[in-house]
Amino acid sequence: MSTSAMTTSSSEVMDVDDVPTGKSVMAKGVTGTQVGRKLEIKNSFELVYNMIEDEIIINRDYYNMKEEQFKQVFCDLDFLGWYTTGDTATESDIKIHKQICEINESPIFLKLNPHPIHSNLPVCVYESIIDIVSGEATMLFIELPYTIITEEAERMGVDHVARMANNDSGESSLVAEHLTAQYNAIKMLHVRVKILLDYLERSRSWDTACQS
Amino acid sequence: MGDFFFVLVVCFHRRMAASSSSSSNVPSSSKMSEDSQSQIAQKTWIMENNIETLSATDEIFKYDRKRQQDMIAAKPWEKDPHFFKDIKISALALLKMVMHARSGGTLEVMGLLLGKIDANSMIVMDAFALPVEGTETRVNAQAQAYEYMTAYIEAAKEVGRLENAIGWYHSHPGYGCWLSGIDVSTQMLNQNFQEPFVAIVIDPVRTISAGKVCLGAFRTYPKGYKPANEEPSEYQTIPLNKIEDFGVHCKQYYSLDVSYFKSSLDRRLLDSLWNKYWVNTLSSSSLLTNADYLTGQMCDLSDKLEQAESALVRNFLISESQERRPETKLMKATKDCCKTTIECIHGLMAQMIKQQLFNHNMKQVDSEEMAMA
Repeated sequence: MSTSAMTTSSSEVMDVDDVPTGKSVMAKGVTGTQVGRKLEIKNSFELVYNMIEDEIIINRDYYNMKEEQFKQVFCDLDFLGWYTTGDTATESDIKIHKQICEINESPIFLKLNPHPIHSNLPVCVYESIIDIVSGEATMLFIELPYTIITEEAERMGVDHVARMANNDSGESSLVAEHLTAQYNAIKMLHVRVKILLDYLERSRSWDTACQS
Repeated sequence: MGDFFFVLVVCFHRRMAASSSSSSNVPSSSKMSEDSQSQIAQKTWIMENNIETLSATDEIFKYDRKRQQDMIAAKPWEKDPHFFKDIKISALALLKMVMHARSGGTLEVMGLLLGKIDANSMIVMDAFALPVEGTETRVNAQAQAYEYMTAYIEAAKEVGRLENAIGWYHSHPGYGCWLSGIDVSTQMLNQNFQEPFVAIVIDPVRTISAGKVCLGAFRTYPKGYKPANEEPSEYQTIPLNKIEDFGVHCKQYYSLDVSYFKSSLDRRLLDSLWNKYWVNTLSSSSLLTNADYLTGQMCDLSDKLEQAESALVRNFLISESQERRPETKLMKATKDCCKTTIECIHGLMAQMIKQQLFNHNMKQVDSEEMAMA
């Protein structure tokens, strides 16, 4: 999964928060590549839907147009699934997912929580399976593991915007400027190693406590 | 990449004007009721989902249509050719542009910017790629790009993205952020017909070598306008085969102060992304990823030095009294040299740091202590 798709989502969430569109749900398609059982999400675009008797119906014409537009610029990306915002997967997500299934046989579903509690990336990825629940075939979501991949230029971009507040103060030498990224990375490593060490120390003391 | 773009934009401009006038004929009463309904829906949603009030930094994401139109109608930039002084770019637009420019490789790519204006600053909210890529001599079919542009913006409006096109961006892979002759004429025409409009140039190759985003935002002066004071713009290395193009046109435009902004959610997401990226920062070496670019810089530098040398010899022979331009070529070459050296040193330092961090075993410490003793 690349960040550009991710960040699109973040700003999209902002749109939902700010612009009084009145739509409480937002849905966007995600595109990427598939090799074997490995999916790579690279980009995303908006989807339009209509509310018909409280049911969300995805506008297929809009999707087709967007899909075609995307093909012109990013010809190697295919439609892989969709994403929305919210806490956990819900019943209404299943309903939308069924419609997405008409476009792509086995789409994936991403959910981004705009109000995360912890500092991990608040994204969940699901795929759907059909299972028998109390005698009926029901669609269920199961969570997929995912990793974030990045590219040099993008990382610089993220680094640039993520910590621009820190670098603004005063003049600094050109050489030092280059080193801040390294410094931040090493600082991170230090924190992580410390956590591991802490854990080991604790488990050892717990061990000895158990033995005595 | 350039003159074809003008045609695009003008056509597009007309199309937009036509569509906006036709859409205003829609009876407003039905819109009103829809609006109020949707407002109620939103309010209940906000209550149900416990949305926190937006902090001041997120104000910038709001779009006030009337205010924008008023500002555009006032046309303050006509009186002052230096009206727009700074530009704010959203994190999203920045990342999209960087990634798109990077995907083009050595080809130039191009796209449009969506955004708005606020007093003396231009605000770029989003960017999208156009199906155009090429070098100065080779470009794709233009009709296709124009269709694409119109369709894209109209489609974006349908999903609540209300911003209009506010400029264009293109990439200069490896030769710095400035406007070429063709870019200047493109931008000049755009500023005549499509104000407010800005040109952003992004260099993906230098972004990687310098370790920070290499981006410039420019606006041209009207024809015949002479900038009052020659601001010493930040010096940048320009390859020898492009330097003429740069020198001829560099007084026809000025650059805007670039700043970036992000929403509070963006900040959280970016921070958590950074929590994953630090590994890559440690595991990559800029010396390896940029080998080609560095070699190119070296070649360019040697050419420049050679030129400087011959120029020096000539000056020396002609007259010694002419000391008005003291070895400018040599000075520039020195600056380029400095820059390249710093980049190399940076790569080396990163390597040294890693050596110290990961390969520093106890045995070595012991032997060092022995040596000290």
